Amino acid sequence: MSSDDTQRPNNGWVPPEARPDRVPPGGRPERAPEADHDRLPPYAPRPRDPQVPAVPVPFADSEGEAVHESAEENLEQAVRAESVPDITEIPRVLSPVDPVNQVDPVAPVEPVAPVEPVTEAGAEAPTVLVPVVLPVQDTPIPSGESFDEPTLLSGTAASDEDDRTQWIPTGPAAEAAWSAAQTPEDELVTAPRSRRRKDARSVGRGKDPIRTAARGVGQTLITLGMIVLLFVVYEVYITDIFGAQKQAEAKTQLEEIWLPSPDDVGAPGVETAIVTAPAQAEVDPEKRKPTYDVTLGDAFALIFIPAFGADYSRAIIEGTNPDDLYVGPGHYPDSQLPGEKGNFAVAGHRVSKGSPFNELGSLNSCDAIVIETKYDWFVYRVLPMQEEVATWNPRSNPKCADVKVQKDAYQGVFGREITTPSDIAQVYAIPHSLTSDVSQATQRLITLTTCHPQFSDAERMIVHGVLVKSYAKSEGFLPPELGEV
Amino acid sequence: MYSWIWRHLPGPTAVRLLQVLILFLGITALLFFVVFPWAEPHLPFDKVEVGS
Repeated sequence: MSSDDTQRPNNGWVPPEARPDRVPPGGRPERAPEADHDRLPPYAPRPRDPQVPAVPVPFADSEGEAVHESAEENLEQAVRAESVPDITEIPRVLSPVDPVNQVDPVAPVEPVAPVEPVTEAGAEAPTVLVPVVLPVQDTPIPSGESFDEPTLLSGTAASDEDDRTQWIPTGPAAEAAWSAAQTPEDELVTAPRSRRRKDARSVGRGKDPIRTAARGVGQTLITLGMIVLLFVVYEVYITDIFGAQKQAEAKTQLEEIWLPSPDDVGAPGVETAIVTAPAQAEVDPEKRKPTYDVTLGDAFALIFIPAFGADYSRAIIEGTNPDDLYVGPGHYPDSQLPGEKGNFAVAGHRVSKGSPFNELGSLNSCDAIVIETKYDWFVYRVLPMQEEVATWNPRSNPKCADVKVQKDAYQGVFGREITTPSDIAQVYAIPHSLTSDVSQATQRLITLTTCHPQFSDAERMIVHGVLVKSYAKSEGFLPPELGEV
Repeated sequence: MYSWIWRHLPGPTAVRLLQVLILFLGITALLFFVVFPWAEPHLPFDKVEVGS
């Protein structure tokens, strides 16, 4: 190699015009590479010559990087070397010399100069074209910024992407093309990078419509499932909390209503004497005088069911619309009131909103249902169950002394019945009758209704009881039936 | 949807977690106090009275 090469700090890249073998024997000035075309030997490989095998580019990341780095070095060094001469002058000087072989400067794809290494091979055989692998396009470039001079890649950008064997131009036209192609720097470097980023996003974030749709459906279903679960939590636990608060308020309100007022003294049927013995407090419902003053939505009585526990008590609200039942058991406004001849009918939630009648299914015949009103205690007892009617013996249990199998108009009224939601006759004065007329009623019944089965309202559970005893309220007196826990 | 929300929440992870918690509680309260009370009468397990 010439002394030029030794001066350069690169691996041997020599600008075309500086190569000694291109200097004609006559000692032409350095920049005279137009001789290249004249002296192009017939066996020199042309661009895209099928006889020149394309150097395969490894696709694996690691190898690709290796290739890339070495190529990058070459390119950088080539740039440094190339920047020494004033190449902009070259076309002006040389273009007219060889218009035939000149490559169209507009299309820098048809190059004619070797970047690489132009070493002894270039000296021995005056081959001008050298295949160089440019691993730019399909090889991952993790650090595209490292290309200080991206213009060197300009030839590749315009060429066929599949052709990885690039021909780096030499010669005047190529130089012109090279300098002309220096303009779109940013575009050429950033384009492949942005495309890669887009590809990565499409894999990572699911821009694939099928993937997106499947993900959307899945998340929607999960969300709906969460809402259903939250509804169960709301129904079973949250409404119990709210219902307990409302129930406590209703009880407080009831206590205030029941406070003795001066008007009560001497009112008809009000006992003023203090009685603590049950026998003395016992009254005949037929002879009791107090009347009820109930308002829809307000509590007017307390219900105790000792079988549900000693602390079980609920304020009974007048009315059975959802707001009433949220507070506590609700009295059917068309049914009779406690102690009256006919049917005192009460509805209550089995699950949710305080669950006052959750254990209605566990009531047995003769269990006590105690109702406290402003002036009275009423003790009802559950009627015989259907399966117990045939062998019913009131004397078998002291609690059952006054509980009889129902006959005549009351035939078929049992302690517990499962019926349809539309069975309004269960709360008539005479259950199962065709009319709500109370004039024919001979019994004083209580009827509790709730939903059935648990967690559903497909059916209704009905519990019937009969009044067996009533007491006048007196300070310090509690019915002994409350102790039947 | 959830990843979209997460991406659009500002701040570091701890702050985002706090925001997610607040969002969840807010939506739950909306469900408990508005949506569920409205939907309850239309669902088949709340009726306890006969003749309705």
